[in-house]
Amino acid sequence: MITASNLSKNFGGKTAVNNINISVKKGELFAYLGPNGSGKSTTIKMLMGLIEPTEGTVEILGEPMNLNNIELKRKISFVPDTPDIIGKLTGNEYLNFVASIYKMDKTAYTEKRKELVNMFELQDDLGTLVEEYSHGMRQKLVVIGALMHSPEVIFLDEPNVGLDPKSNRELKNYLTDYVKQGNTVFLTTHTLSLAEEIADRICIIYKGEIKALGTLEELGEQTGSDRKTLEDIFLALTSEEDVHVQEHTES
Amino acid sequence: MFKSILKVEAQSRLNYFKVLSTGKIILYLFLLLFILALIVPAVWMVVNLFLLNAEEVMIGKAAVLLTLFIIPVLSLFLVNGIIKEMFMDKNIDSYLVLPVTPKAVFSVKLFYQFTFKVLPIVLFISMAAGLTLAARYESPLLILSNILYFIFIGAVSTAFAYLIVFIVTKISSAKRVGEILTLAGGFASVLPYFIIMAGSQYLIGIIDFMPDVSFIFSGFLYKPEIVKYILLLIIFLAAAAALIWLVLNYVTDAFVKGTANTNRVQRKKPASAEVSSSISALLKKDISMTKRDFKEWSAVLPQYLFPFVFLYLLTSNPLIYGGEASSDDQVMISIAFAGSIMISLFAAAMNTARDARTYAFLKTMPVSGLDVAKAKYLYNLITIAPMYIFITIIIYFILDVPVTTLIYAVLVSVLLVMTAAPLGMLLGTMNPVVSRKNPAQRLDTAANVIISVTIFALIFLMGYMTQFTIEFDGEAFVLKHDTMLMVIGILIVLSILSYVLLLRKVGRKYDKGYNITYRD
Repeated sequence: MITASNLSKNFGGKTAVNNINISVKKGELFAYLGPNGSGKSTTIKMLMGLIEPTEGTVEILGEPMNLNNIELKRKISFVPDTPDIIGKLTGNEYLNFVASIYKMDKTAYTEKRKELVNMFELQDDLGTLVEEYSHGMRQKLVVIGALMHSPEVIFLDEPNVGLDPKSNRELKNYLTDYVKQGNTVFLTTHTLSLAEEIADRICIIYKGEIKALGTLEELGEQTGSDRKTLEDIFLALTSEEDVHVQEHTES
Repeated sequence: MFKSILKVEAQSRLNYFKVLSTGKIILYLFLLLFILALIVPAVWMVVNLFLLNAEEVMIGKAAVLLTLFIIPVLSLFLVNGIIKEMFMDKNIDSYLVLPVTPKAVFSVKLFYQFTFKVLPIVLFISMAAGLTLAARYESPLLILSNILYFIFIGAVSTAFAYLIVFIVTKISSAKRVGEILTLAGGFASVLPYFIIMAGSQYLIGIIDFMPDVSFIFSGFLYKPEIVKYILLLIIFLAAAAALIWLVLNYVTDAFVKGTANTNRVQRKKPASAEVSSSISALLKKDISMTKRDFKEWSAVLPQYLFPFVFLYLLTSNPLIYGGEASSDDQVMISIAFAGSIMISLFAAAMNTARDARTYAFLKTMPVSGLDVAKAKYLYNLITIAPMYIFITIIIYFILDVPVTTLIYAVLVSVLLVMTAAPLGMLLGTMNPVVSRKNPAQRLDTAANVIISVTIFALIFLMGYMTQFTIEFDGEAFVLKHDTMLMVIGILIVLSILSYVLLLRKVGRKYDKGYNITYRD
């Protein structure tokens, strides 16, 4: 479903992402974790085609990712890390806009929209301009816009930032059910408990390079038997001291 | 408490000026120079000349006119600052959680608004009036009474501004009100100059129309009578202080009790699910954004004044107008050519460059660049062409031309909008600029230069060509219908070519991606 081969990105002389190889299967929820500035957003933007890789290729649903491939884009969705959407539209107008662009059937749109809007409790705010929304409300609106056309693959860049606990839980349950239906989710987050709870496989990236990739158990094995939680594993892989110790042990 | 907040606010304002960019410093200096060189001397001269020579009854009437003029202008000028500082500035919340009284916080805000926005204006006017009247009546006391009276007017304007803010924020959101009032404030700040320049010849008539209130002002603002002078001095001083005190208490109370509306405003239209075609959805998006963004209006509206500048230049300059080879028909056609090229190029470029803000969002959507370009083209036609037809009709009423010339001018304008808009759109994709602080600044220098050069080249060419559109029929100059029909035919071909070739190029630019400069 999602294949990134030898993916690298340099900004000027600085390497943001270095030789990333990922393969995400159909019906899998893949969590892509890393500290701030580790290259998560750059990777997700390269996967979406928003940034051109310096090296490497991306395939989604078996096709090379290209922003001009309209049919492919109709099957995927993206929730950016900052919900900078058109502020001068109301929530209602934004959703109508997205539904029109994705050429949704009116009946399907009405039903799906109702389900998602009720789930995120945004029904009373759809008449308000997006620029007057709080960060969390914008996030909800973007997530609704990304989910309502039922994409086969969805990329979510830190989707739970600003969401209230109920919406967070609803999103978590929705994504879990969503992958069970055979869809694919690529998720970045700083909420390690979320990844631990719902991800099928986890990838930890640090300074642009993959440090570990696999199920939670596999990650535990890769970092030593005393590492129990994802937080332990994550900190072990992304703190300078531990990385040096681990690299030394491996060598 | 008051002192500490005052100090922090002063420091914050000082820091704002310390980090100003060179461009902004130059702009501010230019504005200051403009005010000092043109507005200040003009106002001073008018006040001076009038008060030195006018009959006494007219001085009182002039004070009424000045009062009626200052209150709305100053209020509009103040309103935008109030919205920004009291509704949209997070500092208020930060202050209110500190161990200070809300009154101290709002006193500081009010102090700055009054000291920096009201006082300079009322002091200038009162000094102009006071010094002149003091010289005329040989009494320096009049300087003080004039200062005090205009400070009172300043207090009334402040109260009035807060009243406007509290009323309008009940109807619409503070942000939207702020945008509308930025536009209104802009007009309000240039209004005095235009009134003085354009309306000075009618000034005496207008003053004479004002009610005679010399029973209040005589003895206080002019021709001093000591008892009345002292009494009114105390009354106006007390009234100004009372007004400020009332405003302060009301504002503090409104914010503390939450009656000041800082919440979101729900639109009246019910939320309903609607699906349309991609192009129609993109078009609706652009129209909604423009309709609601008053900053957008202030970026594009000045361009629509250019046809009137052309009209003025063409009809006021005897070298251009009134010669043997010119007529109103030619002027009308020239304005149709020059104005529509200029507006279409500039507005289309601005409208297209605006997409840079949401380019990444658009790119993730399953919509082709050509569809985006087509929607933008339609949007340009819908917004530019009717506006220009309206301007053409106004010019038709100003000039003495037959209806056929109006029809030709409208046809030429619409066809030129259709021809020039794709070119403007292409220029708008040339390295557009995204500036959150100054959203109207969205074309880079190269695009601006190219637009200017293109505009001048095309206007020159069209201006030259319009002379072939008229002929002398033995009595007067008339339009050559065969030439005009040929011009229209050529423009139809050009507009089709522009649509087919340039619009596709714009679509390809959307697909391929273009450089965007992020300023702040």
